[in-house]
Amino acid sequence: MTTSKERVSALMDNDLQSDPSLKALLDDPSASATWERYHLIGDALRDELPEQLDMALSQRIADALELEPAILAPKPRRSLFTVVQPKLKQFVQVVGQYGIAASVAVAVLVGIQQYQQQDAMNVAIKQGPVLNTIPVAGGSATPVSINYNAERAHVQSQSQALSEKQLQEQRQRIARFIQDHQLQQRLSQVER
Amino acid sequence: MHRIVLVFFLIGSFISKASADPSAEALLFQMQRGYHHNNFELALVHILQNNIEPLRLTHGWYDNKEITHLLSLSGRPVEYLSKNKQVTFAESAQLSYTLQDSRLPGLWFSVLNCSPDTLLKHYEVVSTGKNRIAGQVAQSVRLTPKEEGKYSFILWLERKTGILLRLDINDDQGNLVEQYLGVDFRFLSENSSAIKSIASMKVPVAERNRDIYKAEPDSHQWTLGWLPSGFVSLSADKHKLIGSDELVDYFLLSDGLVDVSVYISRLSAPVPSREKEQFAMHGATSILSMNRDDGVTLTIVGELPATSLRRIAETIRINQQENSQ
Repeated sequence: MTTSKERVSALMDNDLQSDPSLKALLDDPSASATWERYHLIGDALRDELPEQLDMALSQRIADALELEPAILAPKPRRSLFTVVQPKLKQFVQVVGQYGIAASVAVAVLVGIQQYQQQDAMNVAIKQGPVLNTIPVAGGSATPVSINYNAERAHVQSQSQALSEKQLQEQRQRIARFIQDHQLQQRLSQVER
Repeated sequence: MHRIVLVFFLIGSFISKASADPSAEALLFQMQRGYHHNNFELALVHILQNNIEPLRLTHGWYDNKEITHLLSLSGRPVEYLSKNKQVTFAESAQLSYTLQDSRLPGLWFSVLNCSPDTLLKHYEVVSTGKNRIAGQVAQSVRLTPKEEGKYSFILWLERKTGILLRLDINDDQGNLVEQYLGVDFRFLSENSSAIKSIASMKVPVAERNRDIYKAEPDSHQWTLGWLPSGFVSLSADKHKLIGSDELVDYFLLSDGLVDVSVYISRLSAPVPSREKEQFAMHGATSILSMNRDDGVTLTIVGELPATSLRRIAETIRINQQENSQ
């Protein structure tokens, strides 16, 4: 018994030299109790004890592991589809035309980049084949580069003319058109 | 005798050249075969102007059905599942729906499902070199539009199978407007449990598209003007804009790869903006809204650059008969 405790102590200090002694420890049920107790003492000395001690935790973990099925069997993936109820019929009847659209719509759109009129022209001109620089009303020329940050700053400075509510309405309207477009793509049944 | 040897030698050298460096056209066919015939999983990021979305794509065959599953990996879960042509859209926690005959959203799938013939008709296809994508050696192929007014595409295809690993969409100045970038790739075995569990997920009952969408027939008094090369009108109707009561005249245009929606409305209520024109982008999808002086608002949405959308809008006319009334 003493040797077993010595071995546990050696193992805790990372001084256990031989595999046979490790195996002997693993085969000795009292050794794991010793292991647990030594660590508890160590934690208490270092003032690292949790507020509530659950002495039976390791046993419960061991039991749970015992109940686990084969280790390699993959767990079925959790999926939205299993949660979601197919309620579409009812929506179609209520809404009539454009059933899906009115009730579910398509994905919420994130990251729409909006440009003020001046920017839209700039973008268009930049995409044009000939012009390399843009004469702006003030007479200064803006170098060509699609720099979204710069343009965003521009939008912000200009957009103060529009109230927050108006801007939001504008954004929603733009999102609706893109969503409608996406839905039309899903509904069109053309061989490509 | 010498001639025959020479002929064999020439044929041999052609064959070896072809197998060493497949033509860009051959790569397009290989891309389709590679994608549709293999079981694999690809983690990728979808990059729009100011938004990055991590996704996981799983593709394979189960029970003689081609299964494709796309799942967003952060934020609200959004997922799409196709079994052959039947597609389930699960984008909201409350409701998902299945269409009997549809297609997965996004340019990634547009490119994969577009026939190589259509691509070759409208784009110059050039093989541009090798690179390493998602840990795999990949061959890049550039699709440059034969006529102006469309985006160009760069595809990166896994060297041996042709599986698409990365897709860049650029404007004609070479600026990136949208990107699907593969980051981690692995083949799945033929009887992969991943495919099996995806294929056996419960989905809502499949709806027929024409039961879902009932629009009024086309009563358009509008004539489309300029369209980018290859574009034709697929359908025309009058419907209420999604999520609103606004009734719009509608055209769906396509060149087989990308689509353009044309919305025409006479405004009863004024737009919440004094601007004559509004423009926004969502990745490669541009939207341009133009308020004409005669009270007509034209809104064009599609995977085309702003210049093309503006030209489409500017050349739409009212039919002569209607005009004279």
